[in-house]
Amino acid sequence: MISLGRTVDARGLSCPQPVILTKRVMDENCGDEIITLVDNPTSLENVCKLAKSQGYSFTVEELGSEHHIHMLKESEVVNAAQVSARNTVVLIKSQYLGEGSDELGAALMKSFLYTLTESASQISQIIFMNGGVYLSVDGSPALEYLRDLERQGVQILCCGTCLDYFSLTEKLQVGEVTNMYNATEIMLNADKILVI
Amino acid sequence: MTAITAKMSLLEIVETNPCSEEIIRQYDGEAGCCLLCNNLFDSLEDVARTYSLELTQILAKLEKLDITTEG
Repeated sequence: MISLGRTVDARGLSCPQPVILTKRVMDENCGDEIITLVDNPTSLENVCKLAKSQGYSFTVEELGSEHHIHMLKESEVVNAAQVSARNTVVLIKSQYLGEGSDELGAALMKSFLYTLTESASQISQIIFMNGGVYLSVDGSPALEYLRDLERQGVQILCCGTCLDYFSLTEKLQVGEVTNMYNATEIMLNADKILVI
Repeated sequence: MTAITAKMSLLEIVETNPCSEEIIRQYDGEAGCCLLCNNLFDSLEDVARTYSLELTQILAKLEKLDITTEG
């Protein structure tokens, strides 16, 4: 590994080394730009995940078989403002809203998610658990609303265990896979949680 | 050194003790994939549950590593 200031040259290294080396630089240079060079898709994906989890905005430059990931720590001031304005978590446990009729429940859920797109600025995360994960996979009638929410800065998270249980992991269309530890931490830190 | 727990992500574990990488890789075959590639940000307990791995056995190996590297 050649480290040139804030550039991490992780070419030729396999996971988790590119992530560990990038995180080490992040820990030392909070607030600065970091460029990590990788040459395999797994490292690219994991370094991008790391950047996101550590509050860095990033862009990826493709140069042949290599990728250069440019990461910049988002302003603490902006982050603080975002946290105060946007700290409501929505936990969705089913593809249906309410009980009584699944057909009606599906229509209500679609309407609910559309309505959320109008209030996206208040929402930090939407977490899908259990049957709720069906809303973020192939064939969901709500994909366009979820994509819209994501574009507006809402983090869409799907329970990995639930996706595995329903054999839907390969069909995920929107958002990223999360685990119970992460989901619980997000809910414990939220100002408000809507449980649907 | 920080004690390794089931709640820690694979990344945190490897960061805490680089020697743990070798132990985690021992389970790639059983899981059928590279755990450090696919589940780096997942907790050890979630990974064990997902791939039906013996969590207590993994923790015991990691704990042993803790003691060895501390000593």
